[in-house]
Amino acid sequence: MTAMKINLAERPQHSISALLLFFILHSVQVGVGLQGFQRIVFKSAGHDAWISVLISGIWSVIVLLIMVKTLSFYENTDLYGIHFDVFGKWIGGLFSALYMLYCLFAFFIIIRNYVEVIQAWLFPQLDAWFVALTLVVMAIYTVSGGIRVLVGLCFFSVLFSAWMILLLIFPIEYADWRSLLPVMEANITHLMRGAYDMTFTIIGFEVLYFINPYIKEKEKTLKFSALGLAYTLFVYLSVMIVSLVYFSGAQLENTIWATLTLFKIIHFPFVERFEYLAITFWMLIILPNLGMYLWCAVRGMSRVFHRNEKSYIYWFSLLIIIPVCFVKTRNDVNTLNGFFAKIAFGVVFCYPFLLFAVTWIKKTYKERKRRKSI
Amino acid sequence: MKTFPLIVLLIFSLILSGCTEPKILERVGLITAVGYDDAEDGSGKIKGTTAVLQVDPDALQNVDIMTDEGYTSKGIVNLENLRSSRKIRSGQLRVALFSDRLAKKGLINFADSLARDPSISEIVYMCITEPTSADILNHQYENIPDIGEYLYRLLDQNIKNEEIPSPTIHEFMKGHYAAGFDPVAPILKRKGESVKINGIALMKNDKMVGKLNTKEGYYIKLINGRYKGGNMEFLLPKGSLDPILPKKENKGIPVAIDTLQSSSKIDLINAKEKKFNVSLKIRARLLEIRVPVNLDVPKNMVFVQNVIQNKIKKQADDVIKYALSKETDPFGFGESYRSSVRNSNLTRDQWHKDVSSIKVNVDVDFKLLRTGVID
Amino acid sequence: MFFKKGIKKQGPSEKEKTIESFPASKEEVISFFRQQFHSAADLVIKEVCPHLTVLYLEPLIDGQILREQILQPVQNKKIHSLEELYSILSVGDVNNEKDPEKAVESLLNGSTLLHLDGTPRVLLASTPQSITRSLSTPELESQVIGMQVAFNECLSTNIGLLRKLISSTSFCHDQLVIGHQSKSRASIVYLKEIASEELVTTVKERIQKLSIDALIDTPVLAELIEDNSLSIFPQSILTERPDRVASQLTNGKIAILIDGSSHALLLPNPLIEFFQSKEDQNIRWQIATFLRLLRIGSMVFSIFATSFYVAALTYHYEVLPQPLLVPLGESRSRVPFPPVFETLLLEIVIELLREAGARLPTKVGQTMGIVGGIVIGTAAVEAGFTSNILIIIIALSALASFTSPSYMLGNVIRLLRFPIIILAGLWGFYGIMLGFCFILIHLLRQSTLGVPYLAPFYPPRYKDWKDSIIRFPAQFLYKRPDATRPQDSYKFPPSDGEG
Repeated sequence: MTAMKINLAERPQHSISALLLFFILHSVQVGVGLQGFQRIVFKSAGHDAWISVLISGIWSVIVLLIMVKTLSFYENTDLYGIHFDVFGKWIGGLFSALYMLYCLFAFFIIIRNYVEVIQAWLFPQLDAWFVALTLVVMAIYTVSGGIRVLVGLCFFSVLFSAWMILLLIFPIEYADWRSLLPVMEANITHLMRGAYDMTFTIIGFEVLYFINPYIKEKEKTLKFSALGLAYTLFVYLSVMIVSLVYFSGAQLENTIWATLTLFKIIHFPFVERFEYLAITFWMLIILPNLGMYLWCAVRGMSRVFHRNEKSYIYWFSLLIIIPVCFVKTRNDVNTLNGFFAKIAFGVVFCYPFLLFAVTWIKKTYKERKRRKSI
Repeated sequence: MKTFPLIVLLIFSLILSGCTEPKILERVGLITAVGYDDAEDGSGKIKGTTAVLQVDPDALQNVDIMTDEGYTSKGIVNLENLRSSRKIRSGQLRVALFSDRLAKKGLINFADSLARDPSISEIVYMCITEPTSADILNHQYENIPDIGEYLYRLLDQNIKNEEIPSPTIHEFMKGHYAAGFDPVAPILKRKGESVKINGIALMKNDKMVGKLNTKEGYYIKLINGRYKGGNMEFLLPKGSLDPILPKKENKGIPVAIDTLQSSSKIDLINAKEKKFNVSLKIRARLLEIRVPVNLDVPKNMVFVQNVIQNKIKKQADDVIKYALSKETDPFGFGESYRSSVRNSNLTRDQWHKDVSSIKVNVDVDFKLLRTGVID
Repeated sequence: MFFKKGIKKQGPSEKEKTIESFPASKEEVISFFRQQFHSAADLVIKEVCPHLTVLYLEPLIDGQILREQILQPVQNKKIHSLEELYSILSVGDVNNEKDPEKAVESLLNGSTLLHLDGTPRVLLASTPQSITRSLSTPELESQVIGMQVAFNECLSTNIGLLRKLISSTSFCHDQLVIGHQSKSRASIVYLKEIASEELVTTVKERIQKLSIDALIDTPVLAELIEDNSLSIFPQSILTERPDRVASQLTNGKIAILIDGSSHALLLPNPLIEFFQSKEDQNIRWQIATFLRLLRIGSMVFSIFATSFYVAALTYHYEVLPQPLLVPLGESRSRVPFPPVFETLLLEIVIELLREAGARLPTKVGQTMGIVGGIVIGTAAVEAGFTSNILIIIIALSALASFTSPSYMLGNVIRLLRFPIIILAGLWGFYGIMLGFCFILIHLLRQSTLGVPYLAPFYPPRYKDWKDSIIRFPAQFLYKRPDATRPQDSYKFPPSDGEG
């Protein structure tokens, strides 16, 4: 393993404007989690679940702030570069490899959850590997087009799915707003517990670590990233609040995909049962997630292990299809989701603080050394 | 290019292996209405009657009515498949009927099975039938070619016009699971060659415990704030308008009004004693009054207004009293209690125990805004 | 990499016999040219007066010029040197040429060759006759309001038309020769100080890299120099309207015209411009905006409407509202095929009608379209082959596909329907969505001359959205689109306040 460059000099046609971070982060955050996060949070926080959503949203912005700070210690780098710089070749490499594994795990979890939805709602007989394969082919097609195509997909995914939030008007017709009262009945532990349960749904903004070298105007990174997270939070909050007033408590607990159930009552003169359209349309919402996580993992292969990116796009994707076929029941999926949420909580919500601390110590140490030498 | 044959192979294997079971519209029988009754032999089986839409322009009738007995609602569908030329599917189900005997035993298992099936809509109307569902579905109506569609339109029209509370499966499940309120369902009855909405069934969780007529049913909507406007008819007690009439009336006076605006507010006055205050605000216009009263005089108008107001208050009191005596709460007092008392930890069963002892005061603020284009 | 195609660069084909310089004697010269033109019945070789031989290709030259300006002046004169001959000729463009290869080339371009016995050089008098037709109205891109002249097959006429519209010295016109057999002249036209130099160089490089034998028409060139010719989407626009070319030149685009082709090629060309018609600039902005939205809506409808029908009727009967259920079921009830076959069948019938109509003379074609449509449609419904609702949907989506102002894109839309119908027949809405996502990613991967194909939407250039699927009033359109990477971004200074 030869030494890697910490700072990347990206060619100008690859760089993307900071504004697109809004779309990237939002589109990677919103995914399969949104289909049914309500009951998990509700179980912990009761009808104050929306406060938990708010807490987790604010928490995510704080983590984002730390991430941007960490990245700003360097000129133009990604997480792999920081790992190499801070932890050295071997430990840093190990950390990078672990992070790549996490990305692949996320890729797998997203596919498995979407497969579950397709099988439960649309085609019970359709093979899991088939759905997984079609999704993976799409992800490969995106990622092999490079970062420009991937970011473009994020952009259009957000643009084309933005109208879906308006569909929430339909369930409001059946709303009972008293369900939200009394506010703050759950105690702080429950609320925190609920915020923790949001992990699975709210993660995704950690891709900033990897997309950072491609951003043109670094000083605007924080602004647009935070806006992206705020928009996500707005979407989650609206969905959560509408779910709380549309369902009654125990009913929500029994509803696995509450968002899709919300769509069930939507009907237009030409089409009814909107969830059928919504579920298939969700493909456009999860494709950026799949593409981005795959890209992050593949990026690691070239940055850390100096391998040819292209071939690993195929290897990694094919690798993911195999476990999809082995996870069969709803229970397995739930267990996996719980397990993944635990890992994701560590990786996304705790690790950035550690990394920031270490990087900061290293930088100040170096700075002092430099000054002394002068 | 070497990859080309690989891609072709991939596409073909996908097409061959990824095929799913098609449900081509004209090759399936679509259940539009289903009715459940107790089996007569007392075996615990359910008797299911389904109206299956089988679109065929050559057939005399598009709708097949099939009756079978089985242990589960899905099992009944399987039995019906045995004598249908098309696979029977329930994705277009619009109305589910339950006989009142069944409803008194509890409907949650049926509702659960309807809600569990992703192909069934959330806006299936749940209705109670008298005496049996088979009686409604099995009858050969002269002027109704498709009983499923007919029932759906009957209910849909009346719900849209605010005649009855909306009884969708979603609202049923919501009421069933909610701690603080209970669902209601309309009662259907066959009257000769048509079907009539004969009243509103009060449910305690999923069990039918009481029955209101449709007029009283208004008050449920009125009190739980779901009433937007619609026609109402009252029979004012005899003699109540005498002071403003030229000569005494010795019969009850029928009055019809059209509600333009209404709002309702349920306040918890005393949490310990569970005392509630319901304030109803109704703005209406007079449609019909069957006595020669001169409404040109403002005093007379106010008088009529007050009489109607008292009438509404009395009826609302009666309906609330009746419902509470059946230990059911279709108005949502419990929800009001839960939402205003911190850490009440209200449960369904607890509230059903308490509900008969709560005290409710009704305030009515009624105003006649206009009397049509003539006085 | 600018040039992705795997065309190997070939060396210029070997001539059987090349000679360095002209033979001096008359006989040798004649035999040389006879050898060069292996078989040319139209090659005229005449000795007009002693020692003076005249050679020309008869169909290519203007007989009158030849007679009046070459033959008459030299008649019965004794000429001793080329210089003398040169002074006698009254033709404007006469060249003294030593290189035999160039002489052959000039002959092919309509020059008359004069050779004086004993001189190792020749005079080439330019006497071309333009083989062309008169200017006519645009057929393919006809407009109600706007210029009623289309390009014809003569390059100089076409350039003339453009020069007339843009009378500026910044109008640049570079000429290249393509095809070692056809020797087609290609003109690259752009505006100096506006068009990006990088893009101009790229275009020139790509054309020069071509080593094909013959180039007869512009669409062929388009396919050869596009970024990705494997894609179904055209990446450059073909137009027969001089006004469209002129207005796009002012936006910083590059036009390529070929002698003998009545279509100009405009580069770079993002997808959105296929939905724009030149006429949009000539009508009120509200109407133009409405028409553009209509075109995009009809494209989406055209691609997805029939597949939606297939998916809903094959897999998702649940989504049909009750009032549609019975009419749909009744119309389908006698059809023996599954919806996907029914739809494919009818789509192919429509394509047959269109193709047959396009190949027949206009009047017959029209009759055939109407009669064929009505007769086949009615008969198919009566025979129970298709449902009448499907006929409506298919007819509407066919109609919608013809709203595209670009003929090329209309074809793409019609063809894209087929794979999506098959996907819908296989996996319902899921299949449609697969198709949609694939198209989206595919579009994202494309570029035109290195410019993103989905510009100005992605990468987002909000200022260019003013003239994309909507059209702002003219005074707001002061900026040239970024997609052409113009050197000068502003057409005119932005006015503050309303105009």
